[in-house]
Amino acid sequence: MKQPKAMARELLFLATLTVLIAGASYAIVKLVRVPLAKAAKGVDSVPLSWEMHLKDGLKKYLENDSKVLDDKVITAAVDSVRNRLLAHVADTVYKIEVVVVESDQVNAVTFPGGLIVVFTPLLRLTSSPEELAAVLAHEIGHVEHRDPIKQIVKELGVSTVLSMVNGGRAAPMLETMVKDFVNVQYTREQERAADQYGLRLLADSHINPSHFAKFMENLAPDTAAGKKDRPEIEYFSTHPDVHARIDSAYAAAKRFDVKTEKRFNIDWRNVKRRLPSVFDGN
Amino acid sequence: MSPAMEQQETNGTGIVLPQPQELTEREKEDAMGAYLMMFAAWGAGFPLPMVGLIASVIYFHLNKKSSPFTAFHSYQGLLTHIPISLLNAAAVIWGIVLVLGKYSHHLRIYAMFCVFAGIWNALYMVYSIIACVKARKGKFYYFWVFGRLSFAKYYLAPTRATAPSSERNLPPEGM
Repeated sequence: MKQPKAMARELLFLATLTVLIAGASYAIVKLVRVPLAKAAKGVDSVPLSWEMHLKDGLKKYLENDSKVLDDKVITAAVDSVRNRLLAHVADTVYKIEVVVVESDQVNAVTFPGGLIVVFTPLLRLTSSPEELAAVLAHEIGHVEHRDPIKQIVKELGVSTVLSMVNGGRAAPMLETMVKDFVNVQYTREQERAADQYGLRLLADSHINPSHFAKFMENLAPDTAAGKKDRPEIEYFSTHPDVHARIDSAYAAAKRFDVKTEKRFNIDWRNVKRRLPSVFDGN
Repeated sequence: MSPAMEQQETNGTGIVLPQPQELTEREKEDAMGAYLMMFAAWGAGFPLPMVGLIASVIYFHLNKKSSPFTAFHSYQGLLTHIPISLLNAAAVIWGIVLVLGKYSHHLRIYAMFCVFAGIWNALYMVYSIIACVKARKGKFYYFWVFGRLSFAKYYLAPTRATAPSSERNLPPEGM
């Protein structure tokens, strides 16, 4: 009878030790969290001037090879939304620019150096300038967290980025970069951080963060507000976890409690009317 | 042998174990080799832990029919190697999935798992060194659970298998 008892005791010891080691592993990873985070920010050693070089190259590429929208009313409306947000971005080192590009993709993309590209179908699907502000605030979060350059360094390596900056293989690489960035997927942590940044920026700009939730609800195909039979929306393939993000936006709306929202004085219908159509064939 | 001496040598179980001076050098070296083999397999097979496990299985099969002392240590080494290999294999496969897929949001959980596996590997290494030294000296060393299983396989099972109760020599009733 001693053998089973002794075996049970040893199994219990092993199980206890396993639990203790699991706890120790959790504690160790928690303790080294800061150094890990610092290591992950190794991209901070990439000079800002590199990003600016890339941004200049990308802008030229977009101007030459894409249909950048050149409509005064649309540009004025987008600039007005951008300026409201930028007035509340503290100590930014970026000159954040927003361009609207004609495309068939429902998406918004942030490139290195603070260049935000909004594709026309996404603009069309916003119901108000406040919803555009919500999208831009999120993208500004990516800019401020240097997510685009981190993604490029992660995927291409520092040496390739340097060669692009120096212009060695710039043109074909920029084309590849633009194509890749349209489908870029940041980590969930990066998306969450950009969301949190964007929601706070909205509140600081006297815009209710719930506009972000409403925009997502309107686009999400499986929410009450979303419309069925809608074509695939690229924004959600690059920005997953839509329902968690809607909840988070509503929670932020409660938390920040924007009592007096300052609505934009923009005729949004008129802005949208001037957009080239994608879905209705007009 | 006096009852006191027998009590001391069998620990009250009646099982007489070979003492260090009774074992041949070959038995001691083979028993030690079981743990050294594990180390070699562990080192060489770290990127592909299952390769190390296969090597351990082969070593065990080569020694399982040698003396019970050697077989005991080989079996104990193999049993200990199995969970460690599974842990390492999981860490390697998970790492490959992380690299190939875009699942970097799982990185922190993976880091925890790696630390968890690392601690077990460190413990495995320390206790294997102890077992290796003991085996070379002709001594038994029992890991938790696995030591007991190995002992049961090589020092208890033959008695049960070869001597069913109806054929066992027993003292007269009442003695």
